[in-house]
Amino acid sequence: MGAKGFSFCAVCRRNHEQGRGHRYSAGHRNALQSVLGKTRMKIEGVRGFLGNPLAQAPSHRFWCLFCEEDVADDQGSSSIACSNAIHHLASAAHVSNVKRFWCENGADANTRHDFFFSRKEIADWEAVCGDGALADSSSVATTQGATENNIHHERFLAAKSSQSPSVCVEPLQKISKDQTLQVNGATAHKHTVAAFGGNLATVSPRPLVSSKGNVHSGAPPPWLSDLPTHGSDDGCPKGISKRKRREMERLDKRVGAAWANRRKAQLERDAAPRREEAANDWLPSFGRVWQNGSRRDSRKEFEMEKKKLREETTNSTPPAVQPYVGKRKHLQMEMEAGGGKHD
Amino acid sequence: MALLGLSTLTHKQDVDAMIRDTLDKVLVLRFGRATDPLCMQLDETLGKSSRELSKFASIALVDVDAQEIQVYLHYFDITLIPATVFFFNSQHMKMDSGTPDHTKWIGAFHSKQDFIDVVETIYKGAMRGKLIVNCPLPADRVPKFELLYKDI
Repeated sequence: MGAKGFSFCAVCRRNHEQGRGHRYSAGHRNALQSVLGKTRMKIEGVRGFLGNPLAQAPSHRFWCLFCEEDVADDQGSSSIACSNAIHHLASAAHVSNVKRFWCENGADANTRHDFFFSRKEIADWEAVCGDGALADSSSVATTQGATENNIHHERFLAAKSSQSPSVCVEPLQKISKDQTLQVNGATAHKHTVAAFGGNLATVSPRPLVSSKGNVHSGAPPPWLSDLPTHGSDDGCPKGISKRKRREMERLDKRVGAAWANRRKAQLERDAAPRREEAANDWLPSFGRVWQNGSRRDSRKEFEMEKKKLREETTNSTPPAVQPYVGKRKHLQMEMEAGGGKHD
Repeated sequence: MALLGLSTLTHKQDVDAMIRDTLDKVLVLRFGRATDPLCMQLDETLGKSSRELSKFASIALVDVDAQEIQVYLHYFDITLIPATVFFFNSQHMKMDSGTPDHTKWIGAFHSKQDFIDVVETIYKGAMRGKLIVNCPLPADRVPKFELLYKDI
């Protein structure tokens, strides 16, 4: 059983010691699918120019995942649009890098041809470019927005390319269970005009003076509209760091968790009576620091000391305040007094 | 319906307080009339299962004929009764049961167990952070109705 050692997977962007088995793991497959999907969209963008070469060359750049280099077409560098990108995607080096990527990452071999241009495609393109029958960018409606590498163009291509399985366009009417009201509610301000079914009774609500919207339109709910003002307490116990608090909030996945914590703290604050200031004889609820014994013993000791103190203050006169006399001086004075006596 | 152990709410502030103060429990609000036969059937189901669900759910009835409750009828777009709305920590919970309206359950439940299953599904979804859950009941036990919407 030899040690596999750690190796870095560029697709998952993490180190692993699974060896060659890593390419079959679920995480790697998902990451690979997303990465290849994005790369496919970029290459489809360039493929659009392969089919319809433009005379005006807009600036265009993308990162080639397989060769790990930037492929740029600056404006003015060539008279044909994306010529650098097209040449790169057809080059032998790129094709061999694509094959190497496929071997290393275990992607589906049937989809490999989407990521480079074949010789036939290049030959056709060069023939069209050589003929000089290049279209002007303004007359080509299908490549609208292709001048910028923007998200709208990518989405347009995604909607167009129905044969690519990684791009899935859902119909607008389908409401997935993960969509919250705020995402799709703002657009649908609708209300029911007629309702019927089985033996259900109908109810027609009396018309309101102002229609502020309803649950379908994402309006604010009526039970939160007239909230009493509350303090800044968010229900977390004091004394924990901000980082720890954020971590606790992140792990708490309950619906309305923040609200529940805040409301609990508020209710506890309202329920508990206000504690009075500590009296002079307040005793802490742990035993004496430097002495052994339970609280009962330390309390007895405290009570006795208090009694003694009280007696001393009431009975005795306050002692006369005398200046400090050092020991040497004191001895000297005694000797002088003693010496005087002997004499 | 005090006989069933469920309180009937007729004031907005009572409903607000109920929604705001029910913490970490599913709140089930039935909007309907006590005299309607289907409402009565549903109320019996709710009353009988309230004890079993008391650990993680609270149930209350709301009278749709009260003046202050009209704002809720407008907000939830309630046109058919009985309509049952679910909440968790002041958040309105939706349920996809294959009907045109996911925001509430319209009609009565076939059995007590169906209602318990629905509340349990909502509780589990809410504890996981889901605002909309799938209905665990088969389609033949979900009451059918039609709604005609109009865009404002």
